Amino acid sequence: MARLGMLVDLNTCIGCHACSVACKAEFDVPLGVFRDTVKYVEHGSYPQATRHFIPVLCNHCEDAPCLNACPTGAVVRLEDGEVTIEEGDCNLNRACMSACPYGAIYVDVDKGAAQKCTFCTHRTAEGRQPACVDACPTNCRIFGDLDDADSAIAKKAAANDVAVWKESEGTRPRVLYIDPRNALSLIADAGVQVDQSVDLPGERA
Amino acid sequence: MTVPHPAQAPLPEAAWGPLLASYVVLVGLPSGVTLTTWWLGRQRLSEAAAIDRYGAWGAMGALALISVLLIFDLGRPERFYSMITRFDNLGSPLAVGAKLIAAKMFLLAVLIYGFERGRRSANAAEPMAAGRKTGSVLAWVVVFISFALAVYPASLLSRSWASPLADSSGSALIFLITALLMGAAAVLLTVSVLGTVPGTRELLHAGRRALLLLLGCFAVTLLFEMLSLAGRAPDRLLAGEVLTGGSAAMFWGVVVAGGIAVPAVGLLFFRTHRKAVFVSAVAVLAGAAATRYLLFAVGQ
Repeated sequence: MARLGMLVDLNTCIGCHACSVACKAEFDVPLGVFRDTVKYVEHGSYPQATRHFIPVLCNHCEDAPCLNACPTGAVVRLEDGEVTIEEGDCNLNRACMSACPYGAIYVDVDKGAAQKCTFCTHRTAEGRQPACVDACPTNCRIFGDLDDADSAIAKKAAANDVAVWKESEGTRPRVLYIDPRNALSLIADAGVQVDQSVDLPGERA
Repeated sequence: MTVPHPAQAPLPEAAWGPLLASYVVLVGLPSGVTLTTWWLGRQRLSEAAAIDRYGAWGAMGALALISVLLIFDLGRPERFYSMITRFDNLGSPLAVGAKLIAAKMFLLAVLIYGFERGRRSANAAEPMAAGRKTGSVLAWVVVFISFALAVYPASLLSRSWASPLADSSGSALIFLITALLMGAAAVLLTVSVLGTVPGTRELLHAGRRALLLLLGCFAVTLLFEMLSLAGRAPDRLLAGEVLTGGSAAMFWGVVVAGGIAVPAVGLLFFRTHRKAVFVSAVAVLAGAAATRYLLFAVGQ
């Protein structure tokens, strides 16, 4: 049994959103919600201003709050540790969404169920990589078995300081980051989903 | 043109909205009604049997109402039954709560059947004569379930990032006391409106004393809740929102002034005025409901 996870190297992410687009296409994710997206964060002031690109997705936590919160058992952990949602068992009570500190779960109205990143179980079952990993032009994402010392992800995790998003939540994420500039702390109050209610400046078309 | 970056936006809006808020507020009412009428029935009042019967019907009506709210809050209301029939995850407060509500409704239905059957029988003085022992055991079980349902919103909301105030030390006690306040106020309100119910004076007297005692406990609990929030920085932010921020008007106006001060004055100094009792009961209901809403909403 593997312990699947993902390692995101923030040194090499260029914020191109190829991962977001690939994920949207793979799962036909509705407008306005995300399984996987990239946060753009500006930090510092001129002349030391910088911009960080931080890909975010479900963390498939070892201690997943969504899994514990679901009253119908629709949120399940698969053999290799992926946390997924059984659409047929979901009655959209949204307890999982309320419990997830990462805002990684959304309501898919068409499917009538809560949805989130699955680590592309349908692809990985065939030996392929998740869609976001395949699409990344800089190979900033590595997917694999964290427990297999010979895997690329385990080797890279061992060779670098790795961090997790919102460590203080105690969820023990399986999505790890190489984050030398401490960018994750800048999105400590954010979630995968984006607030659609904010007013964007500009004129209506 | 400056476009806000996604990371500058707060977490998306809370998953639970007005319907769930109404549920959290109202779920205290049937528990409070059951516990209050059970206590009043044990005060050796002349109309104990009638109180138990009215209490059972009242709690059943309130439970039916909140069940409708809970079901219609689901994105897939046609699958509400899975909350009751699935036992995969009893670590979920929502799963436990839904099953408790279903169990209480079933037991209340049995009790109501017994009450109504007893009323129609020749021996009306002992409505549960055929199965008094069974009825007594059922009533105790209903009391324990009501207690559980009174405190369970604290457990439910403490698991949500959107209701950080419900994760505080006094949350469960506040949910319990507000449930009892709502129950006692609903009983007093009913008695003061009906007026001609036999034993009205006794009931008003006992209900008024209970309500005053609960109001005192409520005030003390709120005080220590606020003191407990004065420690850590995130908690101080929550306290600030309640005491001086966006929720201050509701807290000081509805909870403290309306929910505690007004009814305390009314029940202490105008004890014989039925209108004063009526106004006090309405004020208590509003204050308790506002308190429960604040536990749900503050920090979102």
